Amino acid sequence: MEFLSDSIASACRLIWDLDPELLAIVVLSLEVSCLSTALAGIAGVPAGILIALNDFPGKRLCITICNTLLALPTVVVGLFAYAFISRKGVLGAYDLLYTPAAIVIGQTILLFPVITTFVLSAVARLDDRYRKTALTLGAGPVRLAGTIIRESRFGIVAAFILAFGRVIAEVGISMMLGGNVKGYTRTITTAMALEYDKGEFTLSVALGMVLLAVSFSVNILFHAIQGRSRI
Amino acid sequence: MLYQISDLIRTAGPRKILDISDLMLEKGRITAIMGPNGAGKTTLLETLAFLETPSSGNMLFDNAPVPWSSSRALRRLRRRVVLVQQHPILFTTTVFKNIEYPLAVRKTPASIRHKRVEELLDIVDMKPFRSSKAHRLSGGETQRVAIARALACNPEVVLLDEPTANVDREHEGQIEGLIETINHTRGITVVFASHNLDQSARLADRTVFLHQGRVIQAAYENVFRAEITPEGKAALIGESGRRIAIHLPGRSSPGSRYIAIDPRALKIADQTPDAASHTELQGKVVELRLEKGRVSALVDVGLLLTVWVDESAFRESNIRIGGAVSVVLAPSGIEWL
Repeated sequence: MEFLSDSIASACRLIWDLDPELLAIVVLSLEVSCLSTALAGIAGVPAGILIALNDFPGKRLCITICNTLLALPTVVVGLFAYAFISRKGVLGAYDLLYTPAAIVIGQTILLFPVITTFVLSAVARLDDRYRKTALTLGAGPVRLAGTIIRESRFGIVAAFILAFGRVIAEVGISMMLGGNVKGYTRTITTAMALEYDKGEFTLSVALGMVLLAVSFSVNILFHAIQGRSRI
Repeated sequence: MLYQISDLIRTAGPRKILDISDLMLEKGRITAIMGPNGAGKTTLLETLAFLETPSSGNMLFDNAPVPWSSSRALRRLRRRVVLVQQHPILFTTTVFKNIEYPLAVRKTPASIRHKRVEELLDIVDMKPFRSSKAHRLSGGETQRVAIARALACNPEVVLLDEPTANVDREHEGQIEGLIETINHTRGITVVFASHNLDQSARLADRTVFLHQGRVIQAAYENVFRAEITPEGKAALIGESGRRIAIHLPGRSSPGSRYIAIDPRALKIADQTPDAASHTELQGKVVELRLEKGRVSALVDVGLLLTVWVDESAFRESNIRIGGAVSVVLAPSGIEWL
């Protein structure tokens, strides 16, 4: 018990002093997580809307595949992306392996089905009268999509909350594609795993506290957006 | 003609929702679409608004075929026609922004947009609500905002699905007045669906009756289920379950089908005494109502039958509420549905 309280006290000091190593790890984690969530959103939101609003052969299969990919283990995504970006891979020439960009690529692959599925679900549940009203008022495809996004924003924001939560806490992709290089690709979760292996619990606990605080802050932000959308 | 429809079919699975062999709607007039629930009124309006694609058949709009496969061309047509749904949905923003929406879609300059929205708010008597959250309005207020939003499109055709279904008496009159005004002063073609025969009589230049997706010639109010026995006897069964035995000319095959009896083909007996080939029913007048150039008499013959009597003929007759009469049915007035 004393060990835990000592670790927490030391962790608090690290956070209070804005330890440079801790700060670098947190900033990188936020950067890659925000970027991959944004990229997955750019691809996943239109994909979800298109699947929800259009009938096409294989739609059910498409939805089933998306649902299956929700359970995709991060190490599988890591392996898959590794095959593409390692020296022998198709994108080997770009020398992406063990860079923050590699982590972003892997995390975007992980999040794309998450955002697509939850956006699809939010849009499919939206009253069809919104679509018909926008169309009869003369909306083109872009304006229609904008109206649909606006009216289903509660569900879409929920998709982003879920996606960010998944990616900030993942360790497999960051470890396999980022390589946990100190000061370069070390994220909160990979640093925690390393410190734990070394038996250095202070930084590990500090990082754990920061991770929870970041998740909490981001959730408060998203919930504020959701709350406003209901008024 | 604005709309010319022929052999139009719309199916949902194995069921035909619309099956219209021939229907024309004139430009600049008010047309009422009447029919019971499930008759296909909403589907017809959505087809006229180019929101529902027919399964087969032809539809001309302004003498040109409707290009159902071209979304770009359909969008151009949709900008000439606007539909107000039975339960209109307003976007989750202010009343002002809702009415502004079609103007923003059409890239109308902001100064003109604001002026136009203010005018429309005034027309539908919703000025005090301009900054209110639209999705928090009552049913009647929502309907009025939806009509204002539709008029902001500056359409050639306004399609209204049961426009007064959710409004109180006071605002019903206001909406009816609005329909007449936009038709008379701006020449906008109006097509509205309704259950209310009085409303269609008050407003419409023409009434189209739909039953089970088909246009019928008779007024839908005299629609009954007819059961014909193998011996050729027939029973008419009303919605309330009341039934009368009747001789139905022109059909003898046994079974159960719906029939419509045209109120114009029913005569109060002393008007047309030639009953040799007609079916005569004894009853009592329970309601009289003056409509456009005619009197509508509701006669209880075991079932309630509506009979339309010419106004001048009514004055010369002895028809009065509570009076016993004979109702004569001409064979040509029966339509098998």
